[in-house]
Amino acid sequence: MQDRIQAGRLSFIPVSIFILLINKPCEKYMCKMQAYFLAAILLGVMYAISGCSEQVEMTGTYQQVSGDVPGSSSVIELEDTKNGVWQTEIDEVSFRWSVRDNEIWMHTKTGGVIIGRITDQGFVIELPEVGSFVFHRIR
Amino acid sequence: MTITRNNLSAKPFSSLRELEYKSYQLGLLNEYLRELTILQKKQEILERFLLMCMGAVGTDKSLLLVFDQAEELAVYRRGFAESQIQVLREHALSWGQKHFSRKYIQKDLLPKQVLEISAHQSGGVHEPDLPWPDKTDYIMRWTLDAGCFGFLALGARLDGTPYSDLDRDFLLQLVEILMDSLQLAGSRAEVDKLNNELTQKNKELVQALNQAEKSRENLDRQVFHFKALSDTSRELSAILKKDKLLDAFMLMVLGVLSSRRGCLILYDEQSDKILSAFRGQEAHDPDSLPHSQIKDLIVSLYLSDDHYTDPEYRVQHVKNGQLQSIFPEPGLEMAVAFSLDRERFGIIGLASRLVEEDYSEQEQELLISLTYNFLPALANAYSFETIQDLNLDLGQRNFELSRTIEELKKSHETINILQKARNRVRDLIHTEVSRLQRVRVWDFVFIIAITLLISLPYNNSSPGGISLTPANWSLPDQEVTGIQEAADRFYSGQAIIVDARPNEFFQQERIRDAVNLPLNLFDFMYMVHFAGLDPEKEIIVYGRNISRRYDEQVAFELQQRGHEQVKVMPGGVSQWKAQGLPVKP
Amino acid sequence: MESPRVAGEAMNKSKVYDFGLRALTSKELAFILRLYIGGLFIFASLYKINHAVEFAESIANYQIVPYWAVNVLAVTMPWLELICGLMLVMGFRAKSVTVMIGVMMAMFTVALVINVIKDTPISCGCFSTSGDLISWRTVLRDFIWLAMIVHIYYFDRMLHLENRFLAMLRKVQQ
Repeated sequence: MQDRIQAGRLSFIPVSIFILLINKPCEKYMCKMQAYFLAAILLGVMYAISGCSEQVEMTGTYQQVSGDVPGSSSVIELEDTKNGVWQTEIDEVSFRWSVRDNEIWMHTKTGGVIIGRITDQGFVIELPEVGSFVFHRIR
Repeated sequence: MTITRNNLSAKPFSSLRELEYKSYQLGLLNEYLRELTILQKKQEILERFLLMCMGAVGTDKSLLLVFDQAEELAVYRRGFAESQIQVLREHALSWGQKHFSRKYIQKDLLPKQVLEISAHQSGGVHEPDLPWPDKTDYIMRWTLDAGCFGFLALGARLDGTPYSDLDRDFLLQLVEILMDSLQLAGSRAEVDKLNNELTQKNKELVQALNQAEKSRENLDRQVFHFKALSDTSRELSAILKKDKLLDAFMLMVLGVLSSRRGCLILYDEQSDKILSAFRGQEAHDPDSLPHSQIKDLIVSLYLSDDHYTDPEYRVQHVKNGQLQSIFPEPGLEMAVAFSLDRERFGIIGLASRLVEEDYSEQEQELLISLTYNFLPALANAYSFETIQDLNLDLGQRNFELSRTIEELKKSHETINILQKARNRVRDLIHTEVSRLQRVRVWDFVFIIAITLLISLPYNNSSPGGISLTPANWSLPDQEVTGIQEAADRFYSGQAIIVDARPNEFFQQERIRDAVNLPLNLFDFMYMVHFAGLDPEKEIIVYGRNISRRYDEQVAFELQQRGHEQVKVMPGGVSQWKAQGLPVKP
Repeated sequence: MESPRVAGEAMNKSKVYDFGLRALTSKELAFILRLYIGGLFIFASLYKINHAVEFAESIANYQIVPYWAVNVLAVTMPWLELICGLMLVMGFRAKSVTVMIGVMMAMFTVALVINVIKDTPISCGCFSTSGDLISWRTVLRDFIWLAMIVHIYYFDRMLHLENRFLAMLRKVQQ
């Protein structure tokens, strides 16, 4: 995700240069505008394309490995629809998730974000005042 | 005629003899008179007289001195030797000059007279002081007039008798006769001279008359020529068309010079045209003439470019020989080449005359003069042509100009209208532009409207959408506790205090020993941390700010999870702190 | 010999100064800034539109907006940002949009300054819940953006969507 931001920020420069360059040669105003929009659309397309190739690989089921949790089992399941469920023995919490760079962002219903660090086996999340929870992928 | 007698007495003629003698003398006188009057020449008369004298009187010596105008002396002598009279000659001339010069002056007083000087005296110097030769018996001085006088000297009579009165009378009468005849002869001579003079004068007069006649003829001719010239120039100047001019000139020339035929060829090198006029019995076809030859002939007459316009050389006579080569038919007898300028020149040719005469010098001169007169008229015609063309051109240009002016006026009007329109449009545009440029309130309205239009439906349809009304309004009322009450219950262990604010606020400042259960992580936190909490336990929730009532929402959530004893402490940390109760950090 | 050299240098300096001034006030610079600000707003609005709840929390963190307006603001503000950003980039009604964006930015800056002074431990909330707490650096960044917007307002002239019409009008005007 950060890369995309960087890419977006960096591609801004050549685009603006391109637009400045077409300012002089193009006499007719419509020509300028068309070129400009073309560039903008191209940029957007490039941006979108670069964005689409994000890792969707986090989909799967993760087993909690460490951390205090009531009950024995604690599983987080990440679905393709960007919905996630953390199931413990007693309760389950659903959330929406997305991946940025090597972080997994879990958006709660009430407006919070838990940012987890992706590891080779899974990810690690940290709840404030509670502690961190390590999850390993099992599926 | 007066006869002055000297020493003669008046005796009457008594005897018969005397009468016979007298009649004889008279007869002689008559005869001599008759003879002398026949003679015409003075010399002859004088010589005859001498003879007569000698014969009549009967002497063999006689001398006659004749003074002519006191300058010339003629001596007639008979019998006297030359030597004798030599001296006389010398003296006589001077005497004559001396004496008669005076009298010559007083011409009027000199009568015709005969003066007997002496008779019967021999030798010696007689009156008037002239050395008469010897043996001169009778001397007489006679004076006809100032121009003729003289002496008669006679010798002695042969018979020795002295000269009688009768003789003397006779001599006097004879001399008178001499004088008369001299006078007659003189008169005759005068008359002859006058006649001659007259004849001469007549001749001269006749000559003069002839000359006058000739002059008159000349003058007439000249008058005629001048009249012709003036007439031609007057008539020609009136004609402004070239072809008519050529025809008219041809006609005039033919009339003036009474020619039978004539032709006039005019070359215009500038426009490469040939004009010709023919008059006469046969008109040549202009194309049949050898134009280049004629042109070459004309050009050859003008030696340089200046000759074309030189007043002396402009009109030149063309020799007959050159003409024949061009007009082979028997025709032109006189031709004249003329040039207006370097590019316009021509030739006039005339054939034989109607009158049976050839063209004389004067006619040639006349033709040349006529041609000279013709040239200005030709120049005029050319100028007129040019003027006409220019006028036409000018008229056309004028017409075009007036049309252009009309169009210009119209365009000007159109321009005015367009300018006004442009100004109006420009003002309009100016207002439009400035209007467009300005920031308009309507833009904001528009933007906000669009935002609302898009955001609300999106929010409704999006999975991440939230309710627009604050959550608090849809919550049921919660129990509220005061600070002291909450503190009492907390410190007595009856209740737990839950901080519903986000973690950062919690960490910044919180009630000591409170538990953080942030609203935004409620689900997670509850499941992880609070799931095992006793539902009967009293929970006091605090945490609110102007933007959010965390405590109410968390309390509600707790109640939803089954906790019944949930209370809200609206005071929050600030009031807790104000009450002096412990806070962390 | 001194004065001509000095004069030459002064001339050079003034030339540089003139060039710098011209560059600073050029419409090209304004255009670049406009693209940047527009892109910034568009980019910033994308996350917030999709995560309205989090944005509401961010707004609430500022503790300025009254509780009944927070959600409305959280729903409409990102769209406003997006639309303004788009219009700015397109150059449609640029001046008004610039004003609007400036107003928004000013509001943000004010809220930021207030919270920086109060030392509220919150994140800026501009792009996403990033985690970097606000500081004077954030304030500086906001002021820079504000200056850019001001520059855009005064000097931006190029490539506006309506400029076609305007250019034609101006040409006719001349």
